[in-house]
This record gives sequence, structure tokens and C-alpha cells, in this order.
Amino acid sequence: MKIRNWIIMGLLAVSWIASAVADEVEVKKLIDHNYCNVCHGYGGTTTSELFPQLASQPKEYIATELKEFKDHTRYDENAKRFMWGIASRLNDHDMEALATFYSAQAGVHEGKIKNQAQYDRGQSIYTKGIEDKGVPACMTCHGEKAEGHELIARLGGQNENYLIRQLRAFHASTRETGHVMNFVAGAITDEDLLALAHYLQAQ
Amino acid sequence: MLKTLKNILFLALVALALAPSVSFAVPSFARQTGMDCAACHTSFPELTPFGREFKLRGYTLGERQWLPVAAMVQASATHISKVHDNSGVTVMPHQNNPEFDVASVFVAGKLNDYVGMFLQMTYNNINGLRDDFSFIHHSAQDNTDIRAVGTSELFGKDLVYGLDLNNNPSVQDVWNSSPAWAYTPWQTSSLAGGPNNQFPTKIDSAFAQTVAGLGGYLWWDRHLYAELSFYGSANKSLKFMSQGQNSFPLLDGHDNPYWRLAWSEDWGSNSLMVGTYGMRVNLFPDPANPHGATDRFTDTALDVQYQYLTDPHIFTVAATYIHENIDWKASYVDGINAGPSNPTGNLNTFRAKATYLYNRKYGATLGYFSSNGSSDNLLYGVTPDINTTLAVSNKPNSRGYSAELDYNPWTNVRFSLTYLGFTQWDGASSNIDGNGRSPRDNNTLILNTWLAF
Repeated sequence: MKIRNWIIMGLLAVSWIASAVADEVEVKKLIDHNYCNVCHGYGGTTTSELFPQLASQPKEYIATELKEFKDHTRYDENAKRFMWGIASRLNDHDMEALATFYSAQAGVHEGKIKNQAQYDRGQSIYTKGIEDKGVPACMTCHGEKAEGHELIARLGGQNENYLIRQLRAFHASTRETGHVMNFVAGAITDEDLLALAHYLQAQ
Repeated sequence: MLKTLKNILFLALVALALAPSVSFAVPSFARQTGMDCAACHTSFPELTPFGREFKLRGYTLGERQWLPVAAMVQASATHISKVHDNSGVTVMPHQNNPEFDVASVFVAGKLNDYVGMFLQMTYNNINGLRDDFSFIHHSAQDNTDIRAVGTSELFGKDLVYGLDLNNNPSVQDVWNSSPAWAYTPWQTSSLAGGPNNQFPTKIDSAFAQTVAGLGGYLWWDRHLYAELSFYGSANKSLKFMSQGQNSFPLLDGHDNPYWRLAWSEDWGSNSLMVGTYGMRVNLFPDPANPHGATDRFTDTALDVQYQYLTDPHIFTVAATYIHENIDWKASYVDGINAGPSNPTGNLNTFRAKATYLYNRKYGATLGYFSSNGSSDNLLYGVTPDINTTLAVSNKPNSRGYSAELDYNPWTNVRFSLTYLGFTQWDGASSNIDGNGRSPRDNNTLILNTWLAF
């Protein structure tokens, strides 16, 4: 038999075996293993500052963000680079399944304070806001332990550089649904931004 | 000088004029996945962890395109330090002229959820020079990589397994430290060339687009990569993988092994790979007479790649060391009149580079390469000194460095300015042509443009 025929037979055989294996895998797991783990880590826990922790995020928040990626109403640079393509292939059922899965995973609680003064300032902003600038206490919406709920994101344990980038994205209005956050991010100084992000990562 | 500036300006304007018309069009993989090039590449062709995953999973992510076609164009202007030799003979024509170098067409994408391919066909505008310095053009099959993959679990961890058919040892690799996708730099001059022994070992591109290799690989837990493939010449029924290549080395059989083992670790914004790869080939000394004894080349290599990936900073380092043992069991005759001087020999290559990218737009790269090996009067003593008639060297050693600045206005467009410096050329650190030419006389400054759509 010619070598080319052996190659074609080999390719077909692997295709057949692979499809048989894939059929046995749950949709949720398939989506998870194919698309999400590389950036967000297994179980939605990552140490990369480029990508957010998904573990323990509110289900409604995850599903909403995925829809915003899909309909391009969230259009910060990294959303376009990484998530527009992924979300374009997800239907409502997939989004619901992913949101359910990640919201049920145990979230990260780093608890590491690298700079006490920065932490204290961040805690003050988070719990009391910045009165003279009209910035409300973040805790009011995001929860006492920054755990989030429903459409409000969990911020606790999130990488500080990721949080800073997102606050800047709100300021640049590239996350259209975050009207409240657009105002907050615009009113806060860079120094306070760092302090707040530092405090939140340590939660 | 004024002419040089005019030419460079012309080249830049042409590229800028072309670029906006394609800035919203992206190559076929990006169209298939719906993702920006930046998801898979730090700067083409260097892959991110996501890009490596996409390749290892057989280019199957996303929706199959009806026509998975993309294209690439490169143009450059080259300035060599000393354009004439000491006798007044032109070493490199077309000094400072903007020239169209190559154009490639890609057929690249998924065939189904388990099979994908990357096929590249290239038109080379400067494949050689005639006596009047006009260009010889040539078209040929370029890199080919066809995969069939599946996923499973092994010891409770993710497992990707696949079959790979390709025409260039290491073109299937996903790290940019092994030869096929390594920085040498990314774009060089079609006019200036380099030392004969800049890439001396066989695994280092000697078989590119002339062989066919089929193998299997495992990618376990996004940590361990293991591959075993077997290569033979891409002739007869496999000719489609070397279509257009006029002459090439002829391997004995289709069971010449290539192997790869790598360990990858991602943490935080860091990605590190430490690996080894190698190949053993039996090669007929005369491709026109594929019978009888063969020479044996055994290549063993170590490589490492580190990436620091954040926004807006990206930093990458890649290095490899290749050692080749040669058994001239067919070519060695008497060591005096023909063939090599010695029955055995060895060659080594070391290559390293470091790149910094800011905001994925501005980049700077420093590179270094060195090759050396055992001396051989008959193989390497081929350039006589015009006064003494003695060979200027009997070693295969070459050494050099590169410094490059990049500007990527869009993810599919790159302008680069590359300086290539040489401190040793085909075994000689001076008098490389026997007529007083220094290695640094071949130093080149290259303005490149690269466009993919």
C-alpha cells in the first residue's frame, strides 16, 4: 500500500476515535477544556494579571459579560483580542452552563498585604468612598467582602493589575453597561486606583 | 545617502498606503476563531500560550471557513557595509533599493473538529541572481503542517493527542526556540545572504520543504509535550509537499527519526519551557544516485523559552544549542583527494534572542548566533588566500549578532529595521574571501515590511 494511503487511513482513524471520545464528554466540560482553561486557569483560578479570576463570580455577572463580549458592547482592547471570538461561538445555553460552572467554583482569597499604607487607603475608599469627590463606597454595591452579587462583579482576590485595567476601561467608556463605574473610575486618582486595587487583591 | 533615504521613504509610503486597506482583514486563522492575531501571537510568528494550544489542538478552534485562505507579502531594502570587494567586484547588488521579496498564499484552517492544516505556498522574487544581477524568481511549496487531534484524560489531567504530517522538521513545534520558527531574525535580506555555515546542522533547516514526516504527539496537562516522528524525502507520492523544489538532499528510507520532549510551566504572567529535540538521518551523498552507503547525521539539541506576558509589556527570551555528530561512512574516501578529510566530524549551533514589546506595537530584539565544529581541510578549506594560495580557514565556524527595532501599527503589519553584524564568517575572523575582506564588511542594515491579510 502506498504511504499516502497509510497516512489518509491514519488521519481518518484518529478522527473517528477522537469523535467517539468527544461524544462522551459533557458540553460544559468540553467548552471549559477547549476555550477557558488556557487563560483563566482550571476552575477559573489564574495567577495571570492579563485574565480575570472567574471562580466564584456571580452567575448572572458572568453570563452578562459573555453576552456583552458577543454583542460587542464590551470593547476594551483585551475584550476584542481574546473574548469576542470565543463568545461569538457560545449560545445562551453555553453561557448559562459556563456561568453556572464558574460561579460554583471556590474563589481565590489571597490575603497578602504588600503595602500596609496602600492597603489602608484602599480599604477606606472601598468601605467609605471619597466624599469630597462624590465617589460612593464600593462596598455598597460589591458587598462587604467584595464578593459581588447578581450583576455586580466579585472583586475580592482579583489581580490588582487586572482591576486597574478594568477601571481604566470604565473611564474610557469601553464597557458600556457600567455607567456607575464610568463615573467612579473618572473621579478617582491613579494613586487611589492603585490603593483600591491593592486592597481588593488582598481580600 | 539621500537616495537611500528616498528609497526607504518610498518603501514606507507604499506599505502605509497598502496597510489601511487590509487593516480590518485578518488571516484565515483569525477569521476562523474570530480572535485578534494578538490572542495567538506576541509578534508574528512567536506564539502565546493560547496560540500554542490552538496549534496543538490542530487549528480546530472556531468555525470552518468556506475558503480558509490568507496571504503575506514582504519587501525590504538592504544596505551592506562594503558593497564591493577589494578587487572592485560587487558583492551585493541592488544596494539600498526597495525590493519586493516574497509573497505567500496560505490555505490554513480547520477541516472538521479534529483535523486542521497549515499550507503555505511561496513566490520568491529574489531566489537568485543572474550575471547581470537581475532576479531569478521561483515558486514552491513552503511550510506544510497537517494535523489530526483528539482530547482525553490521562491520570486525571487533560490530554491532547495527535498525528502530524509536515515537510520541515520542527515546523510542527509550538515553541519559537526550535529551528523552523526561531528568530534568525524573523526577516532577513534576500540579497545579502549569510555565511554558508550560519545554519550548519541538518536539523537547522537543511531539510525544510524537502522532506515528509509523519508522527504522533502527546500534550499532557498543558505541561508535558512528547513527540516521535519519522522523516523521508518528499518524493514520489509525497511530492506534493516539496512541489517546486528543484533539488534537495535525499534521505535513505522514511524511517529517519525526529523526537521532541518539552516541559512547560505557566505561572502568573510567566511562561517557561525547557526542552530537548533531535533527529537522526541517513543521507545519500549524491541525490542523483540513491543507492549504497549513506552518511549518518545525529543531531541532539537543548532549548529554552521564557515569556513574560502582560499589558502593555511583553518580554520573551529563546535559546537553543544543537550538537551534530557526523559519520561520513559513505563520503569518506581517503581523506586526501575527495570527500571529507576525516571519517567523522561534529558541528554545533548556539542561538539566543531577547525581545521586548511595548503595547504590542513597539519592539526591540537583540540576537546572537554562533556555529562551530571540527576542522576539515577538504570540506571547509575551500577559500584560498590570493597571495599564499593557502585556505583562509579549515573550520565551519561563524558568529554574529542582530539588533532589531519593530513597529507594528496593526497586528498584521510590521516595519522592522534590522542590523546584522558578523564577527566570524565561514571559519575566518578576517580575510574571509582571501582578498582582505573582513566579516564586518558584510554587516547589513535591512528595512523590512511585512503584511498579512
